[in-house]
Amino acid sequence: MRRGAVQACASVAASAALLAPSSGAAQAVLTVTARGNVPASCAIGATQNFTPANLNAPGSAQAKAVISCNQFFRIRATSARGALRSTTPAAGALTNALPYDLRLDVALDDGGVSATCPSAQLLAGQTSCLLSPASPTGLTSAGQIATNRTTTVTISWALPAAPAALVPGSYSDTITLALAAIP
Amino acid sequence: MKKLVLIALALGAAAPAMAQNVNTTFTVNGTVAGKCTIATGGTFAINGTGAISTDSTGALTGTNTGTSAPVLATCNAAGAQINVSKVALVHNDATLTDTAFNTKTINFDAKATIGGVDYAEGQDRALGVVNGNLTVTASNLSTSGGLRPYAGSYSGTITVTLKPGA
Repeated sequence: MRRGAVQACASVAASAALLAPSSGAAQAVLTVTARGNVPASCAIGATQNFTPANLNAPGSAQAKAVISCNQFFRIRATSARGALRSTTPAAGALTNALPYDLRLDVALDDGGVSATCPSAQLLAGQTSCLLSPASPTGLTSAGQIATNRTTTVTISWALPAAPAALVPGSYSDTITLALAAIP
Repeated sequence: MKKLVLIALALGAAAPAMAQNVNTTFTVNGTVAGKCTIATGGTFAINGTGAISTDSTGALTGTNTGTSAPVLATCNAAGAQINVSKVALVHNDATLTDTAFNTKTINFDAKATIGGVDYAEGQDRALGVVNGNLTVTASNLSTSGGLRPYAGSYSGTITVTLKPGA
């Protein structure tokens, strides 16, 4: 009777071992992916306009703008009149238009880029210069971005060759810089 | 008659113990191994929509955070531990490189929360027996030196390891 009981005990113990979870530590691992997107943010603002220019002699004038863009970008320029122009009518050898060159020096977070175009190629629809409004590429930031960087806008002019001359009066033009993020 | 009865009693006292009850005790032993479980992970978006907030200069603001959907987590051991680790958010465009001003890496603080208790990243921490919802949170997004992050899509991971202990 006692021997039989011992055999029963061994049998129960074996069953208990089979029912227990497998030995060894069972750790659990969870990996969760976090996703986010930094939106493209580009801004350009004039910080210094052109000072009145003396058009009685060759010269230049500067304006400044600040660019912040966290993505690569391109910039183009549009001239409203294609030259500095007066409302005074031209007469004979006296002209009321003074073409100029526009140069942009765009400071970037690392270095800068620049381009120069004649004002006639900055009229709407023009494509032939890097800064032209319809230029296929525009002046690109060359793989850089800009954070509160100053762009210097320089116009320079030469007087008409004699016997041509400018009619007296006020001359003006409006230059618009357009910045677009490159996707 | 009375004498005969006395003999019978004497015989009873001298008989073997065949009719007595006897007992013995056996012990049944078993073990349950420590074990932890977590449901499958997934993906969550910073600020719910994925849009990471920057200020007018392109620098990260201090308000960016994101929390995963809850999943069930269990541990049956009093000595269970939890470990939280992370991989920073990295821009999905591998061709980008960091400059002196811009970066493609966004760091963050990671934590796991189980049953309302937060567990910060960085080392094994006491957990104990748990059976409840687990969430992970990314917060305090920042860049090294305050560099401006490139625009675009970023992804990183938070890994939670539940260890049942020795």
